[in-house]
Amino acid sequence: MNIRFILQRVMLAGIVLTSIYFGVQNVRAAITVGNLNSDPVTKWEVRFDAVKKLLPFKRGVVGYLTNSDVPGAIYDTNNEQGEYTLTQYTMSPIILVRGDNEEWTIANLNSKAYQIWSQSNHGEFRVIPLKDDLYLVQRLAP
Amino acid sequence: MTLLSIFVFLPPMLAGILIVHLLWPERGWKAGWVKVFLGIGLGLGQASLLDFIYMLLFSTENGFLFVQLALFAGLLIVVIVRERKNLRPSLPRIQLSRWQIILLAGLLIVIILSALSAVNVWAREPHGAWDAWMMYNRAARFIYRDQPRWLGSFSHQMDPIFHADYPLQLGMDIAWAWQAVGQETQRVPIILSGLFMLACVGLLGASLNLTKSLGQASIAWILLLGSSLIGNEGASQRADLPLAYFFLSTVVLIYFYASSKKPELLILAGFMAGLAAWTKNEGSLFVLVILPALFIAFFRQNPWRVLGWYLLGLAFPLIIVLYFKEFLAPPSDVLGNGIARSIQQALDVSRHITILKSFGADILSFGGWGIGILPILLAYALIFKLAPSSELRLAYLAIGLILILQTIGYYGIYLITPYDLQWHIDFSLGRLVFQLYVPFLFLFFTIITDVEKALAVK
Repeated sequence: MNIRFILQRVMLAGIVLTSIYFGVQNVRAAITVGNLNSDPVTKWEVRFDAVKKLLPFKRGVVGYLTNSDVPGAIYDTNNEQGEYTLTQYTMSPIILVRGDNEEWTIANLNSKAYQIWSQSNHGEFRVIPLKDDLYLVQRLAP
Repeated sequence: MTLLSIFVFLPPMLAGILIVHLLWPERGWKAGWVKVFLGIGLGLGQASLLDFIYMLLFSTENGFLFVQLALFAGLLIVVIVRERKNLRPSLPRIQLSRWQIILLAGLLIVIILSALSAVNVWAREPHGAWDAWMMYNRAARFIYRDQPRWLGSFSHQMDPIFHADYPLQLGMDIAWAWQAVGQETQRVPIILSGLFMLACVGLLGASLNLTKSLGQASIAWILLLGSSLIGNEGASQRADLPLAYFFLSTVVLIYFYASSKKPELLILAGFMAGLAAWTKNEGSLFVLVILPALFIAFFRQNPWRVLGWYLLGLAFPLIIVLYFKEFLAPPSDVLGNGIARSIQQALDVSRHITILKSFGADILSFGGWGIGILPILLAYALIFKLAPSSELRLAYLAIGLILILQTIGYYGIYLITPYDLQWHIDFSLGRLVFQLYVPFLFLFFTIITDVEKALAVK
């Protein structure tokens, strides 16, 4: 047996064993990383069930208001972006546009941000408060 | 619901297998497996394209499954009539060497681990990874939840971050399958991602088993599955694995064309390339880079005729893609910089350095094994030696050029991207390398000495 012949066998055995090793590691990592009952998308869908039921149409454009749209409110940019995309996915086929310029707006505001926003927009909107810091807002005048 | 989700995809997949068989009536079990795995993807692809047309014409109807059943029945009759004298399949006689048994045993373990990993991803993230639910599953919801007004899915009011301009391969397949099963269940996109995973892995091994040997197929399978990439990427429900599958199908078919000179194989290659363009925007680049690659590789063999066969297969999916892009989709954000700014960015040396560094780092570390799979492949090539066939040099040249030109294309897109360069690279480069890794593995193992030959007793 020459050296190349030995190297070939070592190479094949190494690839097979390494694949198995990393396969096991990958399965272990996957199991430890995730709780099977904590899918954030599913939770988000449940959170928005009430909004879907209350909106008077199934297709159209709806405003989306969040802490970053309220001057003076504290927010986390990454969370804001993530929540916006989750909400768009959940509300499909409604199209969400940022701001409160549409007749209907979904406000995803914490209590402090909601207070600031409602003080500066008093009388312009009808607000339907929902659970989990959600509000469905209807503009009263065009 | 899981079984029902599988059943609705059976008619298009069987139709796909029959289409491949009609165009490529090669006999034998080894070729048969290649046709099965080509047919799965072709079937899912044609269903998506035909559903797009169906929705344009009959958006209030829910009968697309019957279209697929009729297509399958029609193709079955044609195949039975054509094959009535040859309908006696004989079972293959399998004799395995000791090394083949060892490799297959290792492969079995790797397959089980990879499947466990994928199942865990599906259970943990039933809606898929971020991009999957944000783009492909969201598109499917827009189509399914309001069929009569589904064209509103491509409204210019949609925030560009949702990429309503992305092609609809996955979105249409998911939407029509939801219509067929009668409800919006996450089992459908999960099954769809599993089918593409199966087709991709199966095609790599089956085509190497046909062109080289079972041992060669086994080691390629182990490298593909053992890197954890396919289990995680496939189960994530993103479009990168289906795209890698269509890249692989195209290069496999070009390889078979180069060895057999049957034009039907190039027609199939064109169709698969078109399906790549219907899957993701990178697929449109792929469609284009194949043109010079085929022209150069087959320059001494009537290249215009070669291109003609390829374009013939490409025509139908490409017309659908162009129609979608021209008349429905909002503008793509990647090309949103304008010419002047793009030229300015392309002339910026620091961008070239950033991209080259990132390409180098990603290629060297790719695979999740710490030392990177590509350096391992380099060592493998040195130890096992290259054994290219002179008869297949045109195939190697064509596939090599396709992969190189596609890489250059990705490089160019990073140069002109309107996004922050480092963010764009961090966000996407790993997946771009993955897209090319699968067809590269095929090319690599067609050139390397067969495992069986190398390990024959000396």
